[in-house]
Amino acid sequence: MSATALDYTYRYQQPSSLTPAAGAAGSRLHLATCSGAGEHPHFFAGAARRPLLLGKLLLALSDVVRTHFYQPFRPALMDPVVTASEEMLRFEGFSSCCGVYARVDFEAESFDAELTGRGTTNVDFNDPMRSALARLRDGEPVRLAVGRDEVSIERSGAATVEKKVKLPVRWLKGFGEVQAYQAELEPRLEVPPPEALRFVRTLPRNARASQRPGFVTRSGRSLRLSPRESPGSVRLAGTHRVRLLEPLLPGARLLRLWSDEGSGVTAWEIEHPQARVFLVLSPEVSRGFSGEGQLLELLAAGGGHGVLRQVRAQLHWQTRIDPEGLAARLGAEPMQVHGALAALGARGLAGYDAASGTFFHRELPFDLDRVEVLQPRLRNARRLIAEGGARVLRRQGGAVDVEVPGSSGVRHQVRLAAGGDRCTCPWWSRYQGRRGPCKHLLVARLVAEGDASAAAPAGPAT
Amino acid sequence: MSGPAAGDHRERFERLRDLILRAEIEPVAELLAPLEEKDRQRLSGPVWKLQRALERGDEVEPPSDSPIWARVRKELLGAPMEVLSAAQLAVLGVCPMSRVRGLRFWFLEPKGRRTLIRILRDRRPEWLGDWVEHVLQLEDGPPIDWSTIRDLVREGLCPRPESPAYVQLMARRMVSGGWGQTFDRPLDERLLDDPALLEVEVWSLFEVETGPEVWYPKLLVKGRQGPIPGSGWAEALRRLAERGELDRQRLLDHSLESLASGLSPRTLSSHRRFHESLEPTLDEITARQKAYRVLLGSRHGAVAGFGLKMLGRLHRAGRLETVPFLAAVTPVFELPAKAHALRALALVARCLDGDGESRVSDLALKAAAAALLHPSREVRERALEATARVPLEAADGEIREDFEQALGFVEPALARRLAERLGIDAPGTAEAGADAVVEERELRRRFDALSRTQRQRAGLEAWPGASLPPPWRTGFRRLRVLRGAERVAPIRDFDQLVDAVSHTVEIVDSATEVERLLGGLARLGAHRPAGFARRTEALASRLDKSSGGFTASGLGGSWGGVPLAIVDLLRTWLTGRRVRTRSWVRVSTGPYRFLRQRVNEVAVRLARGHAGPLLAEPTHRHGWIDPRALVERVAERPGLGATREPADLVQALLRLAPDHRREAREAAGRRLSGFDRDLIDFALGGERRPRIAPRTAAVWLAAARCRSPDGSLRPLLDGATRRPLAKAALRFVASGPDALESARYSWRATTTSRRVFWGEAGAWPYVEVRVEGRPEKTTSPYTPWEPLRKRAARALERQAVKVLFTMRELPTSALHRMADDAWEDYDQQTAWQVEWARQVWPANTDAILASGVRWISRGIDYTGAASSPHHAYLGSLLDSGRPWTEIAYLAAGTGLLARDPDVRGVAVDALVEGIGDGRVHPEPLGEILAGLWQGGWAKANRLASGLEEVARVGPLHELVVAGTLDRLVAGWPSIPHGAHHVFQLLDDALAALEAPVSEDAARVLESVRGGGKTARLARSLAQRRAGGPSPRNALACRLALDARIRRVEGLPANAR
Repeated sequence: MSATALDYTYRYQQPSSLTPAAGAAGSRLHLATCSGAGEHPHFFAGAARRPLLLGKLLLALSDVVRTHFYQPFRPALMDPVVTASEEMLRFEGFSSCCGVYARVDFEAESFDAELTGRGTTNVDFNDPMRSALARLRDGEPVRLAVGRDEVSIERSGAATVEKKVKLPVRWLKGFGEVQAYQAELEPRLEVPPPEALRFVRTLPRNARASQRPGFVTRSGRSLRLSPRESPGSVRLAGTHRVRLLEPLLPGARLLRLWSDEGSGVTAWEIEHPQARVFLVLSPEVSRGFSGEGQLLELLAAGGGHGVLRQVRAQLHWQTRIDPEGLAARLGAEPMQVHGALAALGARGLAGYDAASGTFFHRELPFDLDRVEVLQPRLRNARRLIAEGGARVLRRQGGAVDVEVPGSSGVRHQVRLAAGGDRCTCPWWSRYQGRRGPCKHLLVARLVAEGDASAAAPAGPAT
Repeated sequence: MSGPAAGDHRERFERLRDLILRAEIEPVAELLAPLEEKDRQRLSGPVWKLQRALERGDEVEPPSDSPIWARVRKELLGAPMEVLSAAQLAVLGVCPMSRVRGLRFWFLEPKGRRTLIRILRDRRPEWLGDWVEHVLQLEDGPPIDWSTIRDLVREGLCPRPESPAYVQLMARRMVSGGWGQTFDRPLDERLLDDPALLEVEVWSLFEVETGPEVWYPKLLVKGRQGPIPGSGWAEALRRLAERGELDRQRLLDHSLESLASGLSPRTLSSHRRFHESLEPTLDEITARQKAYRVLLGSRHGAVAGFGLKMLGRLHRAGRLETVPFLAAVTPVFELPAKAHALRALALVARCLDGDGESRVSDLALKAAAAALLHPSREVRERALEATARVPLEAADGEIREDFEQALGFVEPALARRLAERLGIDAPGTAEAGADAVVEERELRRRFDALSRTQRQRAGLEAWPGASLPPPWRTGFRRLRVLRGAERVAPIRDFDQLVDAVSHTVEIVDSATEVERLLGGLARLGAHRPAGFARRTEALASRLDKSSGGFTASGLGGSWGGVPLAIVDLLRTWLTGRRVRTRSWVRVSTGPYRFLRQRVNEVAVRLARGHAGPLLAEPTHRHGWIDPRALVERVAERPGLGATREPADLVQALLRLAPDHRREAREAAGRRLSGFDRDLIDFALGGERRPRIAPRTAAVWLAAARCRSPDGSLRPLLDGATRRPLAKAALRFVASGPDALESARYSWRATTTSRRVFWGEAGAWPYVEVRVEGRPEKTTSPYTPWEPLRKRAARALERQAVKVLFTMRELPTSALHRMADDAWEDYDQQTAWQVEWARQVWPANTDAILASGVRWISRGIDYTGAASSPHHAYLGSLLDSGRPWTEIAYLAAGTGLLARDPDVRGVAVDALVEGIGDGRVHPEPLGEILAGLWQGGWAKANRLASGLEEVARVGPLHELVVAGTLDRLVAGWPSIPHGAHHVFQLLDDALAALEAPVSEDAARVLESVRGGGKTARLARSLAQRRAGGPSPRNALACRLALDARIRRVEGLPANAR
């Protein structure tokens, strides 16, 4: 693995396709699953009750994965991830710019067959299949198969598909860390689909114009984008990212807007009967979910909650994980379990469903353990500790003052306090914790807690 | 290695080396030809090293008699290109694939390419196919040419590459040559030289990304003007099909299939054009009907439009399969372009005309329901018209559901028609009933409960009945601006101060933050707690580092104007001595000179080690100070008459809110004495009279403006002094508008020419706002001594002001001298700076709004205006405590017409809030808009889109928008361009309210002639008839009354 990208090969036994079903009218949508350890999992086969919606939602997900919303770069050809359990089929995708995460949930009732498979893997989304998805219509029978059983594999005999891509480390980090943001989201605004559609259409399409932040404000029964903040409004930048939702609104039940004031992350949920799409947006178009540092303190502590390993052992592809129940079973505090789940989320081992307010188990098919080492702020903090010079000045009440060496000989004063941490460095002064702790704060916490052993894997500073 | 074999190899390598260094490539190939693979492997290492050495420009011993080496200066240029090429060919002949992968044959001449093929032919490496695939996928293009790869394939040395890059390379190179290659023969003839291409490669052209440059190239070929006929793929394939060399039907099929693929719009456009150029016959189109239908599902408008066009031809010929077409047409309505949707609807309507079968009707209705959600109103209208004769009442449940959902989306007028067809109530009526929480009887009771004073405050002299209350106008002293206003929390301690300063250096959130900072420094800056140096070390370092740099959002890096004065203040605080940075940037003008004076006063205080509250620190948002708080501050810091900080005092007086003045006066009477008591009492409307001395003239004048922000101050100040110097001081300070006399504005929408580098340019939109007494800018002819004279005059004036009068001009006048030109607006470049100027005199922001009108109108159509903080000028429109003046309406109207989305956004916000709380009335707004239209540059679509957002808020907003547009239309001397946007919105609003246009507007509308969209709408509006106030209209009026009553409820009934 290089410092910035990881070579990865998507390997499918055959391309995903939409083909006319044999012997009957309608078509068969086969989503090819990726082999992790040599197997190509077979998760599900059954008829879709609403093919039009299925096509639209999958196409929107594919659009997210294939778009770089910040720059007109040619995005890497990455594929979505599917997680199957008895209750739900979830598709997740993450944009090339690392600023948009999309998840599409299909409840078991969306299909006329039971969901049986369990697991997570990549699914192939190729151009012909995307074109075919756009043509799906209600009233036309469509059978969906996620993975292919052995019999059909034997029959098909098509060539294996291999897509070699370079997965940027920040993309991998972001895909994991976006789960932590979702856990902080709160529902803010809710509008019926006609109003939502009208609002989405008023948003600037132009990527450049839409980078100016605005505030989504309730306006009568509808929403509007205002240039100024008002009580109850939600900050939004990069409105062209929301335009993706436009085709998904007809036929929906409602549009719900979620946000986390602390981080500035917003999420747009469209609820359909038996299906839901969740689009999570970073606070700025130029900012991705990686490197925002919401989990840095947790990671700085080495993810060292004793409960982490125990929680991980309890994961069995649950659609909803109840932290209280799990805490009771493990004899731990619910907050500890919640923290452990957030840390597991950052490592790609759990996702968060804001709609139900619970984590769910899925394992991203990438090796995220090593990505953690490459957190630049954490790495720099460890380097500062290794170089020495950080010292605790005073402990008073619950507060701790720590002096941490900065660049150019300046020494930064860090205060750790229950009422709010602070540091004198420009980064902290600018963002005041909205983008996670600065490296000095991480150093201070490690030094104050006497956990300087975490300095072990110090890498070069950036 | 030893023995005779090793000797042979060494000798062979030496010969090879010699040939390479002489660049004799044919002999290199001859030498390698007979070698076995194992012999080649033995040469691999030394040859690779030699090639690397040559590539790096390392020292090698060239043959002394080689003319090639004599040509170059080795130490500068490395090895000659020919030698490098020879070495690369040798690598190809002996090295494994791992090494060959890294080669770049950029310098091979045609002879070299032949040699390359010969070497590979002799060697026949098993990795050749993989290597070719590899080079085709290199990001910076393959290092060998298409013709070389093609020769390798033709000779069977490697299989046909599977990579799309192979076909893409063919597409490019056979058209444009490359590698110095040009073509004298058309492409179709050259293709016939290699007939195998016509069997496989040519058909793959429809599966890979290409573009118009290869399908329809416009090449300038050597010696010719214009492209060679047939030099592009489209022409070549068409000719080959005509000659029977290619199967025409297969070409039609492939090009059509490609349109349904996921190729880029660029490629699809070429394929579509090619397909059309084949001119398919009706039979050919009929045979491919299904494929054309598939195109309707395309996400590219051009492709879907093409599908519609071909299916339309079939319909005209009576060959369209109606049911499958109607089942497939729905996706067209998801495309944003209206042209395709309208074409699709036309076809749907024709299908309905020709076939009354229920299946056809159902499918047509389903398509129409989808079209009702289209962004274009025209499409939505056409969707209803197209299916007008199909009854909806009996439609099946799913179709009804679709239409009912569309009901919530379409405009009121359409919704009404649709509801009629569905046999249900229109949503507007239902909504009015559901929202009718403001009962008339209850309103009447609340109105009756108001005292006379409260009614005057609310602008409600009489019960308005079923109409809008009159525009809200009330005296300043009757206003209550602190009610519900956000409080400003002062900085409490040293830690908070350091944090606030550090944050402001990085990013200034608002002018209020700057005021908090000034207040914090004034109160706490003189104290130096233990650890001061350590705690501020990083901040000091940051300020030093950012000095002279640029920062868009923070104070760090400021290089002039007020921001630099604040940075100097921060440095003064950090060092304990006065710091003044010299700047080449023009000194601050207008209100910024005053604000700079305030900053400097705090700096002087810190340098002297004094601490105490700042009188002018706001207690509430928008810069307001609660008068009771001021009394407390003065009590803590008495001696206003001899103050060394006149700017602070003047600022404090100008910020006093109209609320709680009586309580504050009473407190002043108890806690203050002498000059302090007299001044505060006078400012707050008390009985005490001013006693003006030269150094207090500005202060008394500010107190008088605090007491009476509008109107003349002469009655208040007459007889306040008889001393000549004091009179002179008063005259000096009170010379501008809004000093002794309040400003009087006049305005007109016009156009102006602008000096650009090529001369005078065009007619630029401009709203000229004139202020009586405001000095107009004059440009005196340049003379060498002019700058010197100005500097001397300024210095003299500064000294006179310092010694005699304390202040050059009252800031209320200075507000009228805000920069109007980009060259002198250093202090107006960010939103917080404009906001700070707005807070100088929160009681009267007309001067700032007038400045905003000038700025906004200058850049009204300019895209780049969005990068300027013009929206900040309109901020005071959002202060809910004050009624709108004419200038406020003008600012809002100008904002609605601006292209800058932030300006329009604030204007819309201001209207939404202003209508909601009863400040905005349709009459003045409509009149202002009609006045702006006289400039000839107002864009009706911008106005309509802004007001549409406003109208969507609810019935009251609808009513005000309708009234505004009605007044605007009535004020039009002739119908301007784009009037249909206004008519459309007016029609929607009136349809929802079930109201007619006014008689004045009807006269204008009836004058519209013609049969176009504008005329149709005008006629429809003019024919609207009154049928008594609708429930929604009545609700809107009650909401307006409710807003007015709420404004004064809870206030003391007899409060002054």
